[in-house]
Amino acid sequence: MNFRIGNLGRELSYSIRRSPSLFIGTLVTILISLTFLGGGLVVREAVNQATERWQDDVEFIVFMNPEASPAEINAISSKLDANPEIERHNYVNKEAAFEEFQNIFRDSEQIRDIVSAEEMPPSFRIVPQNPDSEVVEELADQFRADPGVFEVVAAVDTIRQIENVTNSINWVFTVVGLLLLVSALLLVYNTIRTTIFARRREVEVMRLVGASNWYIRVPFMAEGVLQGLLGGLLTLPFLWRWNTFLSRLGGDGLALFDNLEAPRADMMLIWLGMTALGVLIGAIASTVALSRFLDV
Amino acid sequence: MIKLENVSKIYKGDVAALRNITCEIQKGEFVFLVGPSGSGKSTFMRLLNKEENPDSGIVYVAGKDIGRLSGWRVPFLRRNIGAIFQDFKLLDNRTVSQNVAFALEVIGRPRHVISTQVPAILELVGLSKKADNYPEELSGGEQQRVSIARAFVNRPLILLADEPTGNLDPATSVGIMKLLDRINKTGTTVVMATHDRGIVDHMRKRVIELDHGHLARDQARGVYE
Ligand SMILES: Nc1ncnc2c1ncn2[C@@H]1O[C@H](COP(=O)(O)OP(=O)(O)O)[C@@H](O)[C@H]1O
Ligand SMILES: [Mg+2]
Repeated sequence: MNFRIGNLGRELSYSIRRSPSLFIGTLVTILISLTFLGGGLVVREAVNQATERWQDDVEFIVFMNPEASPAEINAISSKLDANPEIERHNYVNKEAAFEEFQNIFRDSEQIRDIVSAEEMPPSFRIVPQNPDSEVVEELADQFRADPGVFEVVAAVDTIRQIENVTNSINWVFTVVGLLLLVSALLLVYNTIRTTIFARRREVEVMRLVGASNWYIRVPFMAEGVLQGLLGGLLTLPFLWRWNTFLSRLGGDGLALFDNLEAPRADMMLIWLGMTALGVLIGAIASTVALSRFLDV
Repeated sequence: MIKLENVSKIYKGDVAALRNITCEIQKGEFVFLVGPSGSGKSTFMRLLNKEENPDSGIVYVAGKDIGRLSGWRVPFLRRNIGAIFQDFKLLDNRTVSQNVAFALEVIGRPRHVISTQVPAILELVGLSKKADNYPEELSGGEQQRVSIARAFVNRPLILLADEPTGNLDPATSVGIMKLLDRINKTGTTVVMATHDRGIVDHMRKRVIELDHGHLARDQARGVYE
């Protein structure tokens, strides 16, 4: 087995030395493609994170004072229940709000540690019947002056804008990423084809003397898979940089707009996913090339 | 050792390379396959190591119907069948001993086996002194000896030789024939396609003649024509 692995290493370095420009070109294309695809996912995760409170059609939020009395809270709740223009609402108490805050800032200890559950404002997340901005503004205004209310924030502009912009970014990234992925596939395919062609005499002799199909195939497959693997692994610094860039873009960390940054664990998952995708691309392209040009 | 039953091979474009061939070759025989260019000799050989499959009929090798052999077993069939050709098929970037060792490496033979068998087989074919030369530094006859060493180093049951003297002058060809005869004497079945009349007439072995894919003659201790 050691002998075989040694062989594989020699075969790989042979094919890389034979045409380093093709190898590097293919590698870079895979890298860029996966960076775009992974970058799109990072944006999506970051926005999900930033707008966590605004999901499920929540259009405005009534934040209560941290010191608001149970009576004041009940009053708001009854008022919401009584309003026919409000489809549903969800009360988030101090503990839940604290948990949410901790979750959003789980990678930033400095921010996480400056608040306690006692200081968190409880809030109502409100889904109106009609999400038009004028209707929502008008509804929101009805609660601004009520006792115990700290602040009423509507999603209308900022959040929806962010969602639109990031959806477009996401779309462009995905399309560009997929197009590059196709060219990456074709490049791996051609790299393998060139390698098979350059080594057709060896392959002919191997078949003649009875080398097993796998023995013949593995070095070629390994070349494609190696390109995909390296291309995937190398996306890490780019995805990292991109996420840092997003986090600088925005987030006041308060009511409206939270930390715009994909959580570190999600980043790592995206990175591993891109690496797996790279390996898959390499494996698929080389398998197809082998079945077309290496009839063993 | 080898048996063909009503074997036909038709290439695309309706080229009938072999038509209804039936014949049997015993273990240890030396058989010449003769006939003009295009008569089907190479096709006959390629059916034996399953480089091609017949369109009808059955091919037996070592008692087994190789038509029923699954794909992953074909390499094991080929380990029992050595093959040499007119154009030698040597690897230019490897030395003589590396070319021979290659045949053992790729079927997973351990290093210590390779390091004893390669020098032994080079001794047999008379090329010990050229072990570290590259193919381009050898004469045609020497290159063919390397290819015989490579085909025989794994001690196959059968050796297929497709016009092995086609590129060689008569004097060199005699040397190659002596080597093949020696290999045959070790018990290896040898099937050799040729249209070299002198060699066939001189060796007086069994002759199978093909003509447009038909078996035209099968003669023990035969001559070319
Ligand atoms: N791979 C192939 N595809 C199509 N036709 C072939 C192929 N190989 C051989 N032939 C044809 O089959 C016939 C027999 O060829 P071959 O077996 O090579 O004869 P020989 O070795 O006696 O010269 C010829 O007409 C040849 O053109
Ligand atoms: Mg021929």
